[in-house]
Amino acid sequence: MKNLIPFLIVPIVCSLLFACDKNDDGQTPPGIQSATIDVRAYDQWIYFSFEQGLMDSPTDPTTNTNWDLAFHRWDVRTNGGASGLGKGGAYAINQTSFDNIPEPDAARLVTDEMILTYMQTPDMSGENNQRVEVPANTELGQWLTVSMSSIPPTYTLANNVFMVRTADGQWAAVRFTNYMNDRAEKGYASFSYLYPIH
Amino acid sequence: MSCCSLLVSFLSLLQPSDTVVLHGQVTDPAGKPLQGAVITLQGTAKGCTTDAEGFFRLQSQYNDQKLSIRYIGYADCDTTVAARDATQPLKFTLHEQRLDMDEVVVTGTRTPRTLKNTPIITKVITAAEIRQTAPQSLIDVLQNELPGIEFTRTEGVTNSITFQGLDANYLLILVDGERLAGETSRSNPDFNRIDIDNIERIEVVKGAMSTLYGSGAVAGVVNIITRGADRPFGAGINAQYDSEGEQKYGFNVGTQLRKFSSYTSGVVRLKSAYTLHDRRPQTYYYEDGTAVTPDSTLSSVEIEGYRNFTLEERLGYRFSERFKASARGSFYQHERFNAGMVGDLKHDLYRDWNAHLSTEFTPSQDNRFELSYHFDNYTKYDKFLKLGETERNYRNLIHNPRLLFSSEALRNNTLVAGAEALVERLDTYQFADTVHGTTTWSLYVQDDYRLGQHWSFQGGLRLDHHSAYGLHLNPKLSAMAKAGSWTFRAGYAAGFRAPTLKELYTSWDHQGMFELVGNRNLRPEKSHHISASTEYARPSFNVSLSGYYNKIYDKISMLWNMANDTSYYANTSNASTAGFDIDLRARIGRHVTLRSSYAYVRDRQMLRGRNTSSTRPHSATIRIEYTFRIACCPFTAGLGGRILSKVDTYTLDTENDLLYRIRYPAYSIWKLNCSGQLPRGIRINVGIDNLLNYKPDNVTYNAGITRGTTFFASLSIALDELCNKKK
Repeated sequence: MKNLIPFLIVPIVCSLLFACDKNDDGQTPPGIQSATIDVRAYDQWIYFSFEQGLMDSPTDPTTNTNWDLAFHRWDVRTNGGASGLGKGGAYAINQTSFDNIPEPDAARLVTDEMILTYMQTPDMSGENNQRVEVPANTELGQWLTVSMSSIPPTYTLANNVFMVRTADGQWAAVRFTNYMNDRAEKGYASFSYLYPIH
Repeated sequence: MSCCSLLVSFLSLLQPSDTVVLHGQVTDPAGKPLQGAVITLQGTAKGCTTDAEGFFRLQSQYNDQKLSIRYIGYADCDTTVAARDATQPLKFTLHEQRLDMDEVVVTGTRTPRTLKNTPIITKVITAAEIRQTAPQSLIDVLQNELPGIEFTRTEGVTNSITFQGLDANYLLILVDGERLAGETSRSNPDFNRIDIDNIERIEVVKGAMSTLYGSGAVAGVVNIITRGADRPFGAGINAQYDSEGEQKYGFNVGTQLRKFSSYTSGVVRLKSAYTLHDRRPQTYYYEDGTAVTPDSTLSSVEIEGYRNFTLEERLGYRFSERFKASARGSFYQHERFNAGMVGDLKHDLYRDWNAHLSTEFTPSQDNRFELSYHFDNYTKYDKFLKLGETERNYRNLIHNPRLLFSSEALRNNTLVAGAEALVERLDTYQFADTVHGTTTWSLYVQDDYRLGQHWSFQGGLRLDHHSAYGLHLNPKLSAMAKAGSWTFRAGYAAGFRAPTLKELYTSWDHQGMFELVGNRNLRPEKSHHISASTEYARPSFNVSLSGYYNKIYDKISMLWNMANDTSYYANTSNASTAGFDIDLRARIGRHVTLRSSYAYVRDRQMLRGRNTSSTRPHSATIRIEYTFRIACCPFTAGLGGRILSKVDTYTLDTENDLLYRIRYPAYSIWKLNCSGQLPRGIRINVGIDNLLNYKPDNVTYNAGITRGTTFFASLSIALDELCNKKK
């Protein structure tokens, strides 16, 4: 009978090896919400408010103060600076968790300015390959780094928390969690946020 | 016969028997006694060694005994001593081990021929050689034995093959002479499908082999011959583990009876995903002397991990001396994932199942008919982990019925003739909602005519009818001359590559940026291959030198339309490669064997007088093994390496209309290992891979895929020997 042991060991070892790791979804702290924005379109901005969530595009975003963030591809706007009349702006803080969020510091705010980006699907013909000047927040724009130096391009998530001031001067803490949807298709900005911060 | 002796020994176990002392002498053919030869009772740990006069004494039971006689540098001797002879003095003669040129190969002619008589140089990688180097995958085996072959990461595709400067489209990989359906990407077959523990030998034939094997056999054919049962009962298990967590577990069970045989085998392999990072940014050297490092951030590539298994069954039945049938089938699943965020969301799932039915009819000794049907179904899926969904995005089917006739009825002729159909179906996300297929009907004949003792000539012709482009004729002509230890071969062979289903029918929009479209008017790529070789073979030394020139016409590549929004396939360019190979095998004394190969490839793809090819011109493989004994157990220590030369390649910077040069430095990867055959069918192998800790500076292109030095250990147990309870 002793000789049967190898026959038994192999299937047992194999079954152990095939057992999957359980996915440990860390406990979400209370008050933290999340959103996923479809940012695939090159030709439009998607508007978001911490009070209302996803919004219809305002007729004139530069004068409208209901929106707090806007998304276009990997670009992000706040409602302030070159983008709008609100008090919006953002700055990165050196932590990846929502625990012990520091006191907001208005002096560190980076407001929106003009950047160059594609507002049309770039194609190989060259005609649509012109980048145009639009207002956006360069600080929040660092949430994702896309390196075209290898094929396929590599995507690196910054993973840190951003302090974001809303249009009406409230504060939120935002951390981007993914650039893909559940089907691993790129062009979806997912983020968690704590709002408002008192 | 061996079955009967097993029965006898089994019966004898049932009755008490007295012990006897087996005794005798071991000598070489000249009668010189061999000191230190090891005699063991098979399947037991019992054994002894011969003394200075070659004599031995070994206590055994009084019944039929199977003996193994081993002496380093001499061929193994396995024999059965009948109970009635057990008291007589025994005499065993061992022969010096030779480099085997009588080995039977099939690839060059589609019929069994001995290595020395095959009209085309065939390189054989034996199961013993594979086992000795403890490879993890087929890719390791091919890289360790074939210079001129490289598996690199190209444009996001892991394990893209290049062979003699040509890509996967031009090297045909076969398993038991049959095509593999499916590709992982860019026409690379799924090398992970092959269970390397199940390989009997690998035959590699360089040069165009399209006459016998059809499309794609342009630069050569790698034919993987799998193993069947060879004993009344055999079973084994094995495991391999390395310091990076790569694991392999396998089993096999086989039986070979008088009429019936069965062999079942399986393997599970695991590898974790990791990320390789550039150690230095890539620098572009422009013609005007400026050096530019375009992206200051270092690149990285995700190297996928996997969990996979293969299960295979083969059955054989011999109805009579003249008629036998066989069936085999296998199932394979490969789940591939990467270490980054994508790996948490999506895995790539590959599945394959295939079946092969064959009947062989031998009406007379000289004539043989083989009717076979091969079916292969390869599918790819996206597995979405969070959604719990699996979605198929690719399916490739092959049906391949064949009738093969071979005859030696005509004096001095060996004739092979075949008729077959190759039906292929492809369903991929790159097609617009339809399945596309092609059917190829083929007739081929190849004759080998021997003129006297020294000369032989081969001629072959293949006629294909392809459903997309119609008729194509493919000829071949070669000659072989033998004089003493020398063999000379020279020949011409046409080759061709039919446009693939993707090249014919793709219709795919790349996220609105551009479109990829196929071209239904494509013609096959054609090639002319000329080669010449000389081989010098002695019992302990064997060297060959072969040169070739390969010209490919009507190469299919992608072009952009005028509007620059659509890329389409067209027969555009010509290409040529040339090179030579040197192969060397030697036995040095009783203990040392050496095998080494060198390949030079001249691949010129000129642009404004500069070469844009990134093929490394020089490459070599070497392996030295030393065999020794510890107690009664044979051990082999081996050092193997592959060495690749640097290459400078030029690329056009279209924005500035300037050429720039990139240098891919030379590198070598070495493996040191030691294996031992312990009593009771236990075999161990431990070693160090990538001994010099080679890590490429730039990992994204044209570099070896390695994490640096790793340690490995493997264990295999022949259960039939382990369980054999002879006292």
